[in-house]
Amino acid sequence: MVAIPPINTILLEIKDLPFLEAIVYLTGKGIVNYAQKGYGKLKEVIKEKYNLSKYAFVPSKKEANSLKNFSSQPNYRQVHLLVPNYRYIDIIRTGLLIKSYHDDNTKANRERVKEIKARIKRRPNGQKLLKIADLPTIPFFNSILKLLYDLKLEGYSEKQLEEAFDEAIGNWDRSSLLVKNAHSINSIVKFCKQQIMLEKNFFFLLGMRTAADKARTGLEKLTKRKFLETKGYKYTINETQLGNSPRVEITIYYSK
Amino acid sequence: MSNVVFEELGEKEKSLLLKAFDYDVDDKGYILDSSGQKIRSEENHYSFLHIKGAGLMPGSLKVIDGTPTAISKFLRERVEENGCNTPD
Repeated sequence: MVAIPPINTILLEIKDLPFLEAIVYLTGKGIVNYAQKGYGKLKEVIKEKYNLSKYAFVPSKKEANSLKNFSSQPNYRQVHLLVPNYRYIDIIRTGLLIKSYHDDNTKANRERVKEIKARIKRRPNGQKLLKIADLPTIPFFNSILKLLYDLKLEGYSEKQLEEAFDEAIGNWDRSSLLVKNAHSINSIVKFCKQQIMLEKNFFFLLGMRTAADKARTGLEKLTKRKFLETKGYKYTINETQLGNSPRVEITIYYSK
Repeated sequence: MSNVVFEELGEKEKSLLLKAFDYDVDDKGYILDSSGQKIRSEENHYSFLHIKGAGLMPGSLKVIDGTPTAISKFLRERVEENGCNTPD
């Protein structure tokens, strides 16, 4: 075992070192605390060096930097714009991290998603928080944000938007239809009429690729003879193109 | 605090840094506050902060859960202007 140098030598050695090098130097010399006589000065030097640094020490630097970058991600910005004080806004950002791991579907990333979700699940109200964390990974995330945007245009307050957001998080799985080729137009219309019959405040249709046309046609049928209007519902339709694949997102909401 | 730098640190170094700010670490790796008490996780009150998973944040050294959600909270509250970065 190498003897620890005298305190004055240590202080001299670390004097001009940046924080990281200084702390590594100290542990390398076997220093594990400041209990020895004269180490009070060493403690002060480490505090001072740390306070001058901008370091945040985290379990994974890569992950923390990803989280930092998500602040300029369009969906996160949208959430921040619409419900800036939403209680669980940080879980949304965690959800974006989960989505990035889904998109880069390696074994290590799958394990990491499991770990993150297990931690969230153990929190009070864990099941609800898990649903929020899953939100950025679902195909209806855009539709939910679009709904909030429409409601904001309708004059909803921030608090009302938060409530609508909570409602959407709780209900999207029962109030959304991912239109598939196997769906008939009648089954799409039937789904919508059921939602209206159940007095849902909003519901969503999403059609991708060849099913995009079906979603659009279903809506057309529903809007004939002002059916939606007479029931007090409005709709917005968002048509985008992902490469050669069309994507149709329809949001139908109650507004009377 | 717009230019925070995320870094990883070994447990021995973390422990020494914590001790400089009057925290301590017990023999099981739990972080203790200046009165010698284990620190409850803010996210899950049933558990305590452990040196392995904790985050040590600048600004007179604040110890937080090192989870993505806690780091997001730190970023939003302490780093990002108006809670959101503007794109470059």
